[in-house]
Amino acid sequence: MTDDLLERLAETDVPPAPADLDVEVHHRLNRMLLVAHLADLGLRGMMYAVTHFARGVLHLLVLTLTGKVTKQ
Amino acid sequence: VVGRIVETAERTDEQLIAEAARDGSDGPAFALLVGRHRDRVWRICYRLMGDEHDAQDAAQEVFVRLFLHRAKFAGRSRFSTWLHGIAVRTCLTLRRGRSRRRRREGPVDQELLDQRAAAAGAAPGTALDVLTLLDGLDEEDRALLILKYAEGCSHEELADMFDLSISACKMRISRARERLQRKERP
Repeated sequence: MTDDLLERLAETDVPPAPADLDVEVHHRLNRMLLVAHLADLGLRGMMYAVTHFARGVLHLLVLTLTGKVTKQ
Repeated sequence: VVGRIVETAERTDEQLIAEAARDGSDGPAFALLVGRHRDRVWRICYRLMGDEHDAQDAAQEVFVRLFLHRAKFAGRSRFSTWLHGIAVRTCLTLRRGRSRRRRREGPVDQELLDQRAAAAGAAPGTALDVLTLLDGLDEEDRALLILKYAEGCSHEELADMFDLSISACKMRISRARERLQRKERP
């Protein structure tokens, strides 16, 4: 009896795949890649800004403590 | 560009996934792989998820995961088997999430069951019976039986998809059938 029921599983209809499946996948991937690239850009930009300003603060500290102007 | 597309179309899945892994975005190699496998992935997702809306979400998720893991294909099995393994794991994850949500929301809606029966195109009391019986099994056992009997997957393919040995796979199918039989005749 179980065999019969299981065999009948193959007879159940499967509707055709949605026509826009490829397009939806493409859109999802584009959104995902856009977010990932923006996050990457933001992170790298932030790191650049931190490094840039840290250098200025470091020079200020050196000037305050030693009175010497460091040349770049 | 046309030359590249024609050249790409003649390649095997394994060559295309290697090319897709080198691409930074979903270029022609990836698009061709999606086109080649969309119908089979859709069938697996539909069978495992049980309705069209969830199956569409699952199928999209499968191809997104394929894109994210495209560099991980090691060629130990056929590409199609590897992709179907991703499809099975994605559906199992989505189904587990769905059942957790339903447990929180309350008892199963009878109307939903009726809609599922109609969507399955089943003769009353036949396929629905087996689907209801299968719902009582562990998610992995249910997926094993569906893929074996509805999709006609071989033990070798199932073993690759579920990361089991062939003998363990046969054993699990046999035990799942026994459990199903016990549920059928309480």
